[in-house]
Amino acid sequence: MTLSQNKASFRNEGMKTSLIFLIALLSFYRAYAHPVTYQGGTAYMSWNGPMMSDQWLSYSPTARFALTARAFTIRDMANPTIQRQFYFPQANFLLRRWNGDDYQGNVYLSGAWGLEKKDQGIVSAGLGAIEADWESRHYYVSGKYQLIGGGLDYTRVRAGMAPYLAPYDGLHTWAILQVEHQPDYFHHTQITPLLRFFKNNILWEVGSTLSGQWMFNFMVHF
Amino acid sequence: MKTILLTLLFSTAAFAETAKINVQGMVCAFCAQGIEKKFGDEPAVAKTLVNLDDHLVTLQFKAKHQLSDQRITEILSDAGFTVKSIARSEE
Repeated sequence: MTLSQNKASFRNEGMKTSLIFLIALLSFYRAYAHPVTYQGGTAYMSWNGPMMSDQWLSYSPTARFALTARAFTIRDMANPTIQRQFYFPQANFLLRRWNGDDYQGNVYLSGAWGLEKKDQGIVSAGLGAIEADWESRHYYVSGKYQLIGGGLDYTRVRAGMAPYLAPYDGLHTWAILQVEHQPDYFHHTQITPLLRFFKNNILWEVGSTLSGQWMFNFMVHF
Repeated sequence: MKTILLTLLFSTAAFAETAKINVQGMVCAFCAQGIEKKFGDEPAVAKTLVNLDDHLVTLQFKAKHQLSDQRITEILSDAGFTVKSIARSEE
């Protein structure tokens, strides 16, 4: 191997290592869009794909607390007929918010006790989750860790950027990279590049995992 | 005398107060929708303008109406943001 080939190989390995480190660092967290909206606000949020479906109908009686009716389904990527379905009344708390001139950061905690629908009947199930996000007008990072009773854990991180700044009532666009990890059903880490659009009180996201599985998310608050 | 009183009356009615509020945490238009909604529910407010670039919320009040600084701060706090300063003028 020549000296230039050695240098190129070292640089590629260094970049790969840095990327893996970044993903691992961010993988401690996972986040959705805000689980708590403004006081008196109602939100419907929907995350959809072949491996997971998550539907939230939330009401925020205060700016720090929201109640959610949630239906969550996760499917085995290797055999989609194997799935787990959960139905939760969920409580979401805004633990801490930082409002700066050019940024906002948040930490949320969620807890729920509900039901799991199984072939042999219905059993009780619990859920806990912690989420954090930070955003400016140009950049966004978020992370969440969720654990459902019975050892079903799920981790997701996102990092995004706005290619342009739209006026307040214009069409906003974000390019986001999402990384998900769920060992039992996803079998390996899922990486999804996606586009987020929002205008006024409506938001939608479209994307596809690197293995070709579609994703469509939708949010509206009023 | 009547002329002077009428002039004063119409001149007062022609000016409505405006409040310009410097807001922290206002970086996402989707999340800031709550600001318009909550101020829109206030009878004193004629119009709410949100400017993300300048971190400003401008309230145009109806004639002879206004909101106190405390009420403005309370509404923006309920919307999830922090008030840095409030400046008032008549336009």
